[in-house]
Amino acid sequence: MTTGLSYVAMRMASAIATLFVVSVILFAAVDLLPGDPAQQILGVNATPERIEEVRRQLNLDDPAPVRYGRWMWGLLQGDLGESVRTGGPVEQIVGRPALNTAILVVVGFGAIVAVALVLSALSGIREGSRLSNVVSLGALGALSVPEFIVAGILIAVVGLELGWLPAVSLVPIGGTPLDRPVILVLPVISLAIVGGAFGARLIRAAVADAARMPHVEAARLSGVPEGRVILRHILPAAIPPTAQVLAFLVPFLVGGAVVIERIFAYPGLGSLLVDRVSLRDAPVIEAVGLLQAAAVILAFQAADVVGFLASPHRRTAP
Amino acid sequence: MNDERLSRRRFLKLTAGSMVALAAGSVLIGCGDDDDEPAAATPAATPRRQADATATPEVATAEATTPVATTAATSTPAATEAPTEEPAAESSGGGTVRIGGLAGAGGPIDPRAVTSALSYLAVNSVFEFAALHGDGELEPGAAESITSNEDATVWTLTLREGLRFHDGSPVRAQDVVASIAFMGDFETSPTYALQWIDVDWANLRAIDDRTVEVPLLRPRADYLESVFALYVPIIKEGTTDFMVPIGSGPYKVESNDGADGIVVVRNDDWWEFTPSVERVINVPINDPAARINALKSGEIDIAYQLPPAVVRAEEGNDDITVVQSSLGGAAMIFSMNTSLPPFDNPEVREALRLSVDRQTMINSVLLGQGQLGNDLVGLGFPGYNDQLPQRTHDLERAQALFAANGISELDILASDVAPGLVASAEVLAAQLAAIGVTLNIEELPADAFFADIPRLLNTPFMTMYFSNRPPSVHLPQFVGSTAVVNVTAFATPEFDAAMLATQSTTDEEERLQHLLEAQAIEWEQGGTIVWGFSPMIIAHSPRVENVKVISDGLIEFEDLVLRA
Amino acid sequence: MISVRELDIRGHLDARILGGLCVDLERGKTLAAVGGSGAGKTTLGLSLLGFVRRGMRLAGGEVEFEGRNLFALPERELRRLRREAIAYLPQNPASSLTPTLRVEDLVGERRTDRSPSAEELLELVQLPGGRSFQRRFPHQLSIGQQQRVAIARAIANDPRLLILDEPTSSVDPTTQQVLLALVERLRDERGVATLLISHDLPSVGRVADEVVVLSSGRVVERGGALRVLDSPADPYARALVSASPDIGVSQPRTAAVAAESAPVLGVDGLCAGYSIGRGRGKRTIHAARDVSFDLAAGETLALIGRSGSGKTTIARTLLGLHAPTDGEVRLGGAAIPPRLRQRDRSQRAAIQLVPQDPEQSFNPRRSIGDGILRTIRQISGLRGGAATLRLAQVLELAQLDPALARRRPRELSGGEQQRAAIARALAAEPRVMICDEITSALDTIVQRQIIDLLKLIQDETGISLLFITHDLALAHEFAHRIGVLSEGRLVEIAPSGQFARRPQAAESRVLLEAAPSLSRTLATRQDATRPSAGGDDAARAVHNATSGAPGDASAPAEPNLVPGRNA
Repeated sequence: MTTGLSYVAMRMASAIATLFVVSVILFAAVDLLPGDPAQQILGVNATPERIEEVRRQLNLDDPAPVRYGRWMWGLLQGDLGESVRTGGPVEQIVGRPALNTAILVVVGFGAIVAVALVLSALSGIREGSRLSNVVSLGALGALSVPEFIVAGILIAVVGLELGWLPAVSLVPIGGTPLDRPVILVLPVISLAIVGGAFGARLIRAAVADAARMPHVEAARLSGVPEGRVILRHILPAAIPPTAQVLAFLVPFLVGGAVVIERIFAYPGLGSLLVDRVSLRDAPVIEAVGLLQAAAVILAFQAADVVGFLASPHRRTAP
Repeated sequence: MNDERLSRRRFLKLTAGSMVALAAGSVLIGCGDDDDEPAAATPAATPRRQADATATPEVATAEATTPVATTAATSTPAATEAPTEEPAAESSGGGTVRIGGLAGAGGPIDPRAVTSALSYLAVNSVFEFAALHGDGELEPGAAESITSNEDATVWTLTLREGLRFHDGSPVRAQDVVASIAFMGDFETSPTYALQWIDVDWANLRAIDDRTVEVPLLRPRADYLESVFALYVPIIKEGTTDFMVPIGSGPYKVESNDGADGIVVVRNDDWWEFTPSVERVINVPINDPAARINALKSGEIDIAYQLPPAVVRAEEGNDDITVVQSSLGGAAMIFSMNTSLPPFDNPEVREALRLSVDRQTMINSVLLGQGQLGNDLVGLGFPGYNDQLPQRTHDLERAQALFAANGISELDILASDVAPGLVASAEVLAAQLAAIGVTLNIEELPADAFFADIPRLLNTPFMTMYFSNRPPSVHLPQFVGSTAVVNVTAFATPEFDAAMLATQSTTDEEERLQHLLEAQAIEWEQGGTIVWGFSPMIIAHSPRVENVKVISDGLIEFEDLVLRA
Repeated sequence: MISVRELDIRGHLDARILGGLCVDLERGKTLAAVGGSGAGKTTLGLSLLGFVRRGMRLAGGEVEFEGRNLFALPERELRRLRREAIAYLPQNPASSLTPTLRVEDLVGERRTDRSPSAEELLELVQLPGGRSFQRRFPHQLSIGQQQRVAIARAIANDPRLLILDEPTSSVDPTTQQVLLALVERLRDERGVATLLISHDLPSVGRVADEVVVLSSGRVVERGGALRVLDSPADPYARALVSASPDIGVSQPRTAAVAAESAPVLGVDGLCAGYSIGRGRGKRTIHAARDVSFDLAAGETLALIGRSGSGKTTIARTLLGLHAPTDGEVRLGGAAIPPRLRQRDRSQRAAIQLVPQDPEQSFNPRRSIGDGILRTIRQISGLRGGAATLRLAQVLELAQLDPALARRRPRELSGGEQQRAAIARALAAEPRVMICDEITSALDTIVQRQIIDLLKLIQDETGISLLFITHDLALAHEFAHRIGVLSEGRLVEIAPSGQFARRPQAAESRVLLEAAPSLSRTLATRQDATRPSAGGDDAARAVHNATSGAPGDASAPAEPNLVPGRNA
């Protein structure tokens, strides 16, 4: 067995390796996007000579592995390159949207976890109860509604009809979403309704699994008060699988944010990605993709570490 | 309203650039022109706006040179509920207007590389232009005059006196030279450089502080209307950073942040008059539905570029004023390649033209929000050939022609580069099916359509759109053997001759005749079916007055007035 | 003290689990409920806690504890009773320990004001009571230690009622003895009433005052322990008693093997170990040290020993699943490669395993028949009709109804699963079959059937069996020879009869004395007046077994034998 620290180091190493693989896939995928970037930049009336020249400037004529190597080399030195469409260093273009999305994802994550934990706690501990079934059914209902529909309904009712909250989430000029937190409410609710239902079902399953273990019945038969059964006998065993479930929420959030950001006109990575994909702005697309992948990978590694720390049989020597 | 004043800043943007922008975001950045076609411009305006338009011409004309008074006149109709406020409100103006539009990728406010509606609006308000397409005529902008020698080989541009950049430095002839060189440079301005291909660069020079001489390599009698009045933003010599550029237009850039938007403040030293609204915030909202939501919830004042469905949905909503115009709209097209079978056969082209039920197209594809097309681009612009009969559908003859040529099946490449094009192909398929012709639709994603130009030029039949703009600008670009991109491969000697004449004939009247003739040839024999025009649609809150769609579908910030 | 009246519990489709059951239990008495699996013993035990498992329901009757009907009590009150007055040790005590809690919490959680300290409780079950032990998690303990922690946890509340569900079936002999001694002590010192649920008749015979024999949820016989176990009246009770292996009465299996026949399997100087820990903490456990034995054709050799004595490691090494560090394995006189992947098909087929837990060894999503067919195809190379024919043959050999072969593993009873596992092993036509604790999870009647089946198979096929068990009585009557393992060494190997009469090694004597024997137990109790845990053989054996010093079993036993601090 291994100590916590060396385990974390091991997970980080595997995270970096995964990210590396993702970077190759990402680079290849962006490379395979239809359309010649040079043609895109120059427009329809570009001469073949000009296109050739721009291709040379962008090093598009080099074989893909060479271009990947160059990109990776820059990346390792902290240089994400320059936008081929609007100019400017990529880190500058990505920075603000990344912060905005991070805020949305973190707040959304918190909301989802809160919703999911409450729902699953209400239903998972005592499997088969009426409350459990109602929550389960409700979660299924919420799950089957795409987030853009939820968002649309919220905008129409809460934003426009009632006028309680802004229907779009415009970030104050030069500020951050936290300067006007009210703009986060509807996007976060949209994410939390779907994500919370999703999370609740999975957490409920994890908790129910933990609650089915023989030592739980034994604890009840030992007269341990129910509160303590839940806190000491069920939840600790449910932590590792729950951490995994919560990690699964991160890709959901990162993906969901793309949709939500567009609907609410929220200036995050999702909006940026959509724009830059249509512009074939490879360096920006790659940077955003890598950031998203890193967030997801990090979440899963964090879940593994949490699971590790919460499992005495893995954490301590036999 | 003073049309002259309002349309001061009409200019045309090269379509190529907007095509790319469109491909990018399904945006309609149109190239519009004047309001000389009331049928096109006014239906969308509200009754109040119409009253506005009819109430004010004399005032405006009379006071064209007194900005304050003019502005007052502008706001009069708007102030029906608070008439007493007019003078004070007008003289000081002030306030902030927020416009929500497609921001695309954000980035610099660079006239060479406009990638989105918002930066286009910003370019238009920050930079002064040399000359402009006015209302049925050409008007000088920053230039006091633009004249040529007798054989149209040397053009001379004279600047107004006392023009200043936002930083206080004077606008010099050298800046104009730099601007022309800047826009005409293949290296930095590939989109616009072709426009300037006839310039004799070695001899382009400033004669004195206010005069520029532009020598040409061949006679170009049309140079003023098709080049100088098209897109000559005055850029300060040596400008390299366009994030916060220094222009000489009615608004100055206060901040430009891709994610948050662009903020411009009025330029109190603008040569023509002092704009009423103090600050305009260009808010990036890329989703059209989000734009209208933002407007309805009061987060913005103007929603720029909306889909036709919005007009339908917001009918009867008093809190929102919808403005729509063919200026800045798109010509919706079926494009037949005249060099590829079966469309190299004129009878097949004619059969297809006769098969299209244009009104049905407009009703079903554009939800009735659009104008009938007559196979020519430029509806509402000067030089548009409106003497040709409106093409109607004649199914019997079409069926006979198809049958005679043994056509029972056709393939079309469709892509929603302008919203509705794929739907139009589907409607066409239904219309053709009625006369026994099967239409197979191959759909291409919007962002892939313009990525492979050679493929498009080898496609016999496809959906297409062009920004609506004057025929004198459109035709040399896209039709004929000398066109930059001859989309339909249409190149008869008669057409080429007519086009050449429009460029080399110095006599205005004669030149117009050649232009009309070229259009007639294209109408008769060409491969373009323009079935309708999709309008530019803008919605705004009653708080803002004087929101006018002008050429290119632009809104001029200096015209806006806020109601108290 | 506790009185069960007309208890009626129904299961799925209203099937009867318990019907009209009446049982009374007095303070200071021990009642044993015996019966085969499915008799409703566990359900009875749980009902004494006022608990009915999901899928079952209380259809009638009541359980009265100290004057209160448990089924009428609110959950809160019930929990309080369980916490303060009742102790319950579930069937598999190790699995009742919450893995995320430390020993101190597990034991401390159930302590009351009048309970001994955690340290005392641990020492009561012969575990170190020290701080470092208390800080451990269950996974850091051996199975035996886990079981004893579970016992300490159960009795930590100083209970008035003790419910033990099959306390001896899955625990090792040491723990078994600790537990029984503890039961006696609690009874004597604290007047605790005990319900002992078991099919382990020697244990029952040792501690029970009264016995009820359950069959299909009904009491078929009840009475004083000695009477019922000695001369049961009911036919089922009789079968139950006679199926129980008893080293005191059983006859050793005589050698039916021609002495001169060449050994089928030879093991020579086998050493095997495994390392645990990492880095500096790394150490090697020697699970097998210089083990040598032969196995003749048609012979059954029993390997016995306590848990951790190396039985399973030797089996794995023979199967090629564990690489030996030294020594060799010979098949028909020729050495075979140590690793499975180096062995050829016939070498692989020659040695087959019948595992301890057959259910887990079958794919849960496929039928038993499919699983066996897979082995046939892989090892025999048979296809199509030939494979199907072979399947039918082995099913018949294992006496498994072909209709059952279409079911999935979990749809079979424990005995049927074990027959299926035997059929699968036979499918390879092995020369040696290794049976690893294959009957330890079965009740005695089923166990008897399986043993009889194996004898039959051996007679028919002449197969050799390596029978790994901790049950000496069973080994004695089933094996031709018995080998005793202690800390990886084969300390003695001898024919069964000789072994039982004249054990040579100290460990052999210890095991022999600890071996369950109903007849001996009954005899002892009939001699003694009241079983003061002090003087009997079994108890002495406990002491020796748990003192960890097998070297000197002949030394007189410590008089006070109940584990405690006075040692």
